[in-house]
Amino acid sequence: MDRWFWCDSSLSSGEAVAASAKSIRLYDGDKKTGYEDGHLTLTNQRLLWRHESQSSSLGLPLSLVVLIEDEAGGFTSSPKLVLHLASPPPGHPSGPIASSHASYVRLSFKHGGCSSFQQALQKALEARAWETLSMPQPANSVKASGSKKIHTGILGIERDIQKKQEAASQNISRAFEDLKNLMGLAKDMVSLSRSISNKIKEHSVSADDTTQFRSYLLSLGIDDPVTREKYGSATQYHHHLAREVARALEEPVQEAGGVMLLSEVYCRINRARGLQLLSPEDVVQACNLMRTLDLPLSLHTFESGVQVVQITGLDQDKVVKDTAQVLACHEGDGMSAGDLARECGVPLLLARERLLQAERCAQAVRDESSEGLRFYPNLFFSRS
Amino acid sequence: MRRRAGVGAIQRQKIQQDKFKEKGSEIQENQLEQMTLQMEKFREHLEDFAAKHKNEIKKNPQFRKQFQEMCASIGVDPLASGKGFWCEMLGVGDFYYELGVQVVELCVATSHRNGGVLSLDEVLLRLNHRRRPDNQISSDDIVRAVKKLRVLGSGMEVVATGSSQFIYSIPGELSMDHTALLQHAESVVHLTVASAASALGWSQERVSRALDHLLRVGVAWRDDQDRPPSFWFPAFFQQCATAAE
Repeated sequence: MDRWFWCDSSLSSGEAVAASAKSIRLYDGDKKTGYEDGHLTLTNQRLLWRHESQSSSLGLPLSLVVLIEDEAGGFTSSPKLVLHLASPPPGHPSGPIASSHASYVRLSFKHGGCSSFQQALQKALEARAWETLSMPQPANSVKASGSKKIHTGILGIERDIQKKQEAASQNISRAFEDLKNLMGLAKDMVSLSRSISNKIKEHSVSADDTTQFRSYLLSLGIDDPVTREKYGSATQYHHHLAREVARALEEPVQEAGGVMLLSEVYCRINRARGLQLLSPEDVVQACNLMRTLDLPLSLHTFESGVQVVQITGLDQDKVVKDTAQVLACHEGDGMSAGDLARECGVPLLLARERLLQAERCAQAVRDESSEGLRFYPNLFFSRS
Repeated sequence: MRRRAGVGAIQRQKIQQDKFKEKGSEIQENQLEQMTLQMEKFREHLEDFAAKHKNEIKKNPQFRKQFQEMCASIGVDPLASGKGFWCEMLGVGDFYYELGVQVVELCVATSHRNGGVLSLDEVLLRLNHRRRPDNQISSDDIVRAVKKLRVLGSGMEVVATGSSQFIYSIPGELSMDHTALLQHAESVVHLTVASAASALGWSQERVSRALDHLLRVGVAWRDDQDRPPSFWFPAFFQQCATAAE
């Protein structure tokens, strides 16, 4: 702030006005000064600040400006320009403040015009009109220009980064605005669908008449318990999916021993698709339909809640017999689910289910201890 | 005269019912027409939105979270079906379903080591490791993806124990006791029956029972060389998080 000095408002020869702005306040570093609501004029050699009640202006030679930054405004603050200044040369005329510890000043643009002024200022700095005039302290100017060149380079890079950040944040705010509007629309759809669903509840309507409505519910992702209970949530789409899954996975399931965990089905079908993946619910719906569609694969749910897709008509008794046979080979130590999994090459969950199923059919007995859960062949039956 | 007697009365009633049905289906038809029109309009808006901001959804976890929360607040599940508008036009589905696949595969690959319990942080670390720096996921993303996987019946769910969250892939129930014991184990990493009993204020038998179950499912390991035997929980091993596999 000590670089500003009192001067005449008239322009010297060779000086021309480049830009001006109103309602400017000066900041000494980060502190507000009393110099507010003034008229700022940019010439090709200096910045002039004048309050209309005064005749003289505060001047700042552009040769002292080393770096310009801009600060975007917010709700409570106006946009500002930050001017980093070099130290004043000896013989610099005196100004309102003898010394300040901040080597930068800020200009606050209460009524806007910040960016256009910044551009004009930048141009004036690049033009460096004061160097063409014979000015004292050439050494200082050279030093200032030398350091300025470096800063201009960095300045350019910093500007780019700042611009990108600004653009990104502007984009985000626009995105959030658009999102809000979109959600408003969606909300209307939800209430409309609710009233339609209520009508359907009151008057019995056939399944065919509701197909279009149900497909709308699916498109929007609305879960309507009423229509779900009455008509199920399967649509034509799921019928189509059921066939696709059965076709794609019949062989892999066969290779896996005729049984595959539903979570693995989900992974495999999605990996195969690559794009336009299926939701877990889609997969469950599709597999639920398999039995009614008479497909080679069908869904089976164990008592524990584990779901598998297996070859239709998989003989459960055969599986139990096979399990019992494997157990018989391990009469001495018994087998844990992990052992069976390793031996038969099936996933752990599946091995566990096979053992539990064998137990239910009295082909295996369990031994629960702190060693874990192990199964043994049922010798009570076979040997009694 | 009894109102409900006689064939005539029955017939009259039926005619009335049919009239109501007609009226009802008329009203429905109008509303359905209205909905069809609105769906078209909505579709256009969504396409517009997607054209401008689809990338934001892919790259910005904050935006994704906001999007999901707004959908939930109006009663819409954008991840319900891959056939939904949201998935088809915004591609939200592909993002979360693919994440689901990755989580399932990770659980299967590591369950021999941790018995089917993985810390959310470890999953986050491993999955982000594979992704580009500008394509990172957040823990909110993982939680949402796993929530969807529940319906597959392999017992996948997110459980909060104490300060952190874990992903369980053990079907069959972990009771409150088991969860409480795991919560305690998280803070001490290893324990004995006695230490757990005094920390939790339970009887030693109660601790033993819970520990037995956790041993059985493979979440806890027992070190018999310690006197008294100590129990360790691989899911909480720090090293697991940094082990490259």
